[in-house]
Amino acid sequence: MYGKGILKGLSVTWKRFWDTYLDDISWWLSGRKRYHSEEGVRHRSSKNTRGIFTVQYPEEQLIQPEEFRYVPFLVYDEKPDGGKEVRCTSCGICAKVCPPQCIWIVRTNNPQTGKPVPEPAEFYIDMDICMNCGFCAEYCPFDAIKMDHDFDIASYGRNVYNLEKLLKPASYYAQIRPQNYSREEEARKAKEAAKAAKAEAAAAA
Amino acid sequence: MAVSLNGETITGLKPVMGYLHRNHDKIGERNTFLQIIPYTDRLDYFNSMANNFGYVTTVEKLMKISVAERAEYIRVIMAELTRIQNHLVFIGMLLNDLGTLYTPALYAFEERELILDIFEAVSGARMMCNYFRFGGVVRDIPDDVMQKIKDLVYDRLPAKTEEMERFLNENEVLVARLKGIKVLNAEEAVRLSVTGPCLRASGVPYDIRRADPYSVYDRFDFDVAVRYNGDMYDNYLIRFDEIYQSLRILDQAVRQIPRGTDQLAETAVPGAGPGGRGVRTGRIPEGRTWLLRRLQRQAEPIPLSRPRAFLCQPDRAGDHVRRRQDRGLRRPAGDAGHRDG
Repeated sequence: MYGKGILKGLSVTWKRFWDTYLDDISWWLSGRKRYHSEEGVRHRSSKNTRGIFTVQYPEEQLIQPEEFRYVPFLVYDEKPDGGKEVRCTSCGICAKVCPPQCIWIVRTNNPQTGKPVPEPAEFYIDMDICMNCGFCAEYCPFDAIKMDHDFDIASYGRNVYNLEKLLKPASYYAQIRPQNYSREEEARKAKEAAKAAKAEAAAAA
Repeated sequence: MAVSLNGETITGLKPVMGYLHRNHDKIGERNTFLQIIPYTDRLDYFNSMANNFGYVTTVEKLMKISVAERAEYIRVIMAELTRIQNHLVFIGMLLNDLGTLYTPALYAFEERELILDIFEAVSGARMMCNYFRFGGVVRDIPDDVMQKIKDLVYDRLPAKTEEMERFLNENEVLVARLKGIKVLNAEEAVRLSVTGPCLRASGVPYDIRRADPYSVYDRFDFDVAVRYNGDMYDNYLIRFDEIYQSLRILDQAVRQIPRGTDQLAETAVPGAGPGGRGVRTGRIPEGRTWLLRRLQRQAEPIPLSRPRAFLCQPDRAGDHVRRRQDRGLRRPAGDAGHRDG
């Protein structure tokens, strides 16, 4: 019969149309929220989702996985007196590995001796050039530069971030990437313990 | 484009084929091997994983880098998922251009979104994944993501692909508009060096995964999808065939994948001395053509009749090795990093 293929195809659209409402009704009957709730968003990105599963940004947002990455930031540890201990030593590895070359670092020199101090005097990242590849975070040996989760940075001007704008506390990092943070902290503690043990052994000998 | 000018009048215009419009070849001259990986994402934003794959296997072969066993399977899983979402979007967009505005395209995008969720969870980005490294991949697949891959492969994607077939395959208007249109026969296709599904739709069962298996593709049981008419309708149907074959490969890959956390082989490179000299002197010509060929063939989901651009200068191969060895990224004294042999 001519037209059978068309009818067959239309049945697919018809089914999809009803699936949306059927899902809404079954969620409503069971008293759960399909929209504007984390459970609902999770359901709409699972294998069981049917019908329309638009996530209505910005009212609701997709749940970001831990590894989600967007533009880098610099991590500092909070000192007990409230000061900032910047982890960056201005070694420049991130600037060298950066594929589009968007990182500029100015080293600090000790004014008396003129020798370099392991701390950046200035640090700029041009976020308009940054391609979010994550190499800087991957290759930083001091865990000082990490990729952020904060993606809505659109503005009318240029987004060249300076040190002040780049610095974020370690607690923020722990909050957005809890697994990575705990893994790195463990590694660091193990390293320090090994160092202490070695020093002790040297002192005993 | 090579343009001849007489004052402001164009007197001659000669297109030079084989370059991508975003200057990847020129950028590649500046960058080290490692730095090129994120640029391969951008060769084709629907296939970042597949392009990563092609590029890293090229460099690995060139420099004799061994790959971690688990990583090989992760790579295959990612590449096949990429192929599925690419073909679905191809189908959706073809129908979009034929006038079924956006409905099939958005059905395709639904499945694509679910696959991109997986990419985002493992690599950190939905499209510009930058997930592959020489010797492996950046990070392991967590268990919950592995479960999601299984859910999609076993429960969802086969049913949804069938639904897509039911949706328009027999539609009389579609068949009338595709059958017998733009016939590309086998001889013509070979002469024009067409690759990928377009070649196979013309009746040439040539699939690089079977003809010259890279990675662990020789361990999987799958058929090379082939159709014989070479018209648009066969080009459309072969995408479905390939999706089913990809699902078969995925099924075997998620079963066979070895457990363990070692997703990156940290081996140094044998054969390449300090600075990768062996690579530089002996293998430049081969490597260069190889990079070229590999990138061309690997880009299977989207057929290209011409090679893609050169991506890097092989004479900088040593840089990556050194970087891997002492994550200090310093270039040794006396090596300016450019051609010296």
